[in-house]
Amino acid sequence: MADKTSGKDKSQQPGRASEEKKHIPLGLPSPPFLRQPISAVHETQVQAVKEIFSECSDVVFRNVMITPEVKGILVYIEGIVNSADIQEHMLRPIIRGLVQQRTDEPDVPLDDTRVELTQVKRVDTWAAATEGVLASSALLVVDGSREAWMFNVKGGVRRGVEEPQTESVIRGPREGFTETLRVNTALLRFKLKTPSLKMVSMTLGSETKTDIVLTYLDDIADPKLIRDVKKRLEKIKIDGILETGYIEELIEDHPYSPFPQMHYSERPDTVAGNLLEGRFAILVDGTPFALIAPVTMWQMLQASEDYYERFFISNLVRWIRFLFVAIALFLPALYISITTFHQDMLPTTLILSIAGAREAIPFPALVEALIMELSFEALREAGVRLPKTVGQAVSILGALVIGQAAVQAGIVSAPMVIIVSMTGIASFTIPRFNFAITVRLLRFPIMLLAGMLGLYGIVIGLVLISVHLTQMTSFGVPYLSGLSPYSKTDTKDILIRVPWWKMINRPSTVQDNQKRMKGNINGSPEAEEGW
Amino acid sequence: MVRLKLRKDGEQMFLIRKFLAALMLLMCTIFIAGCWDRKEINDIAFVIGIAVDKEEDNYRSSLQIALPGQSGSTGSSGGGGGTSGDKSWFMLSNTAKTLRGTTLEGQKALSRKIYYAHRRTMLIGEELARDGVAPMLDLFTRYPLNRFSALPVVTKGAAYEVMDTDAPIEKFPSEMVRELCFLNMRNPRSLKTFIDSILSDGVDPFLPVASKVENVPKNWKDAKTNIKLDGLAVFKKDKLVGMIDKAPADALILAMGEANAPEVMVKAPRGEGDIFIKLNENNSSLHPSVKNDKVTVTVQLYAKGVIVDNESNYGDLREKEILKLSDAIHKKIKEDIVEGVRLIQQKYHADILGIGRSIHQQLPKEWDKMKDRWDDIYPDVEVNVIPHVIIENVGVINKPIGVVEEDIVHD
Repeated sequence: MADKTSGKDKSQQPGRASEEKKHIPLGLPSPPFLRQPISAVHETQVQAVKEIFSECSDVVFRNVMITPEVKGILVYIEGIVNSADIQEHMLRPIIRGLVQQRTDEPDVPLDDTRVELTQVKRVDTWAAATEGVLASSALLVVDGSREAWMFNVKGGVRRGVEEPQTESVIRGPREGFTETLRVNTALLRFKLKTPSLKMVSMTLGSETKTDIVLTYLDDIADPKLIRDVKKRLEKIKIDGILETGYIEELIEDHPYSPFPQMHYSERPDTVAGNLLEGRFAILVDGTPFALIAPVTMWQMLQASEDYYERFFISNLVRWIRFLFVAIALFLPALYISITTFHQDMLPTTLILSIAGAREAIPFPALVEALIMELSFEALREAGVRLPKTVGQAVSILGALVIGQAAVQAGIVSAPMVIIVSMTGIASFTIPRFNFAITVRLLRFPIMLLAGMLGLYGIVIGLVLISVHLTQMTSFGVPYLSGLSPYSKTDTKDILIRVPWWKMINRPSTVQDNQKRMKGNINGSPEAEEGW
Repeated sequence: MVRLKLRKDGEQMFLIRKFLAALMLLMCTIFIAGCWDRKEINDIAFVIGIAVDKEEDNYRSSLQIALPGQSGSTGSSGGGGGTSGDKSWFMLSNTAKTLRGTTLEGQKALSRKIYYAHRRTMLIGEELARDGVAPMLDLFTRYPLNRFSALPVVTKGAAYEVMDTDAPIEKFPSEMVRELCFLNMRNPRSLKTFIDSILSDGVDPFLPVASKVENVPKNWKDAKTNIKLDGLAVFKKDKLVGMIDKAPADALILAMGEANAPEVMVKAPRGEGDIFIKLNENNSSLHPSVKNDKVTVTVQLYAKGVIVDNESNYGDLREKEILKLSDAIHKKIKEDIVEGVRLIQQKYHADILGIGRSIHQQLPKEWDKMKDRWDDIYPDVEVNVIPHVIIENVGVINKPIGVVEEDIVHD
């Protein structure tokens, strides 16, 4: 059974998936009408729609008269359509036409031109008609016709373009993607005004029928990569796609790796920037996040603002991030290992003040660190989930209880609080949230290793992570590419960000080394005369 | 076909399971290997300093152990006040036949493990130093927890008495000794350099001398005991042969190029009073030459001078007078160094400047000829000193500020 469906899918061209929508319900019970073509008898038609949408209180059935003799029924779902459109551009012309017909010529057949809407489609099966209604169209079935009309009256209240919540910048566009796919594609079109910006539509999810768009720049992205991702997307058989995360987990290279192999962004400029570097993006209807791949680990440490601010400050910030990633990953482990194994490694005065602070603490350093780190994680999680009105209470509780009271009560030591807060701050300097979570996650095994083996354990952890990272790929691109495998041209945007007039080539990992800047710009802005 | 595939899958599963089992076993080694040398920071007694003395045939070692609970947090009355109650350290003194034995004795009376990695000073009693320090050095170096960078210091009298002072400015008296060592010399003698000079040919070891003093005259109220570091303890191999006073010691340290911005007092070329000149960036080098079996060593000394104090009525310190002053300081430095060197040459026969080593390095052939007789040759080596002091800065005033114009003597 499963083999049959996949075979059928392969035969279809993925690019045209949106035009010829698939109507194969995946083994789910459906009303008998869904399998039938539309009948020409008005009573059957009414019976059909009422049965298909039985007990759907949000579905509106409106009887209309096309001509004095011909009855029809209009079906749409309230809330996801623009009712003004229906009233102004469908009902009114039809009724006006009816009046005209009564007075003038009685026998004008109904056709598309009677309706003042741009997108009109004809369907001849109930399944297609149902799908259309669910996708915000208005369905008009008319007595005597085996075809029904679908009018695109998409509307309803959805969020407008707002500033992205998760990736704020000081300098840079303030617009973010919304939940509406078409708005998102439009935002991308505003940025990239080129016909080579391709947007391949697909529908995923047997129940949700989520529209997704795979977008890439035709002349830049590697065609092999695009073929590969299309294939992976077609393989997805699932009842629903509610967020990009579903797709990410279903198509990534290493499902068991803690490291993210795609990144997501709700910034159109970030997506556009990545498309220009030869990557692809997947937009999903219903979520403001776009998936971007292939990625390298270095990208996880880069924020869009790195490219908007002048390169001095970008480099400084980038190096601060490198430093703080190391802190986020290793600082608690270092503290544990030094205080339990390598007390000789710190300056005497420092070790004495740590010893003084730890004098009354009942727990070993490892347990102390675990208590603090876990409660910090809990606090962070609570801060995200709690309603905004309670948030303040949580932050006060957190600062007082975890910060001060715990120290005064002698449960944890003051240096540990400093370590944990440093680590907390450090993990927030990582611009990609999914990578930050990975770092937080890996911190715990490294802490355990440090608690058992000291610095040796930390080194073991580091070696294991490095081995894992070097063998990882994201859509075939090595995760550390640029440094491993080393590429001289790519180093321009890994450890440092060279000024824009030096950024002549695109990353070599993603496609052939295309120039992104014309002319012979020899490292100086003045050489730009030719352009 | 299907069955075959299934079997293959089964085999694969088996292999995977085997692999996972092996991996788990490997992971276990981490748990087994771990923790054997784990010690919590509050199960450790940090030894900050040690004082070693000789008592008849036994060693007495006095460990200065930090009390982190007392020394720690802000605002508390830490810093070792006058009363012994809230000192941030306590003394653990034991005697035993061997030095290691004293540690073992001490451990019996201490609930935390004695931990030597933070021992940064080592006070050696005068009596012990005269008997020779070589036997105990092995203990201070073999086990890697001991620091080669610890600073050995010889004390006047018993070492534990110096260790057991109030030294209120630092948390621990041994910390005070350490800071003083760094003020005394640019590269204070560490265990490493000390042992190195015991073992090398053509150089004899020396160490700074610490003694116990009072901060104010004894009959004042609130008198506290303090530590003073001046003079040098001169060794022959590992045995102390004598201690020299502050003045020649300072001159010798200057001759070694180790002085830490020393100030030299010069009598004003004319008029009454003295002028103090601070020598910044001083360094020196030894240049030996051998002629007819007579060894001469030239000490070239370079320094930049800053006038820090003019307590005389001399001059407005313009160019001519500065040159005069340079001459005066050259003469003074020369006298001091020659006198100091003569002291160690004649009285102690100890070559702490490393004149022999300079011959060894620069004239190896000559050294081969004389190294067996070096002890006899050394007292008669002629030492020339050529100082090059350039006075660069006279401060913000020229004339002596409290002297009326008519009383100033000009050149």
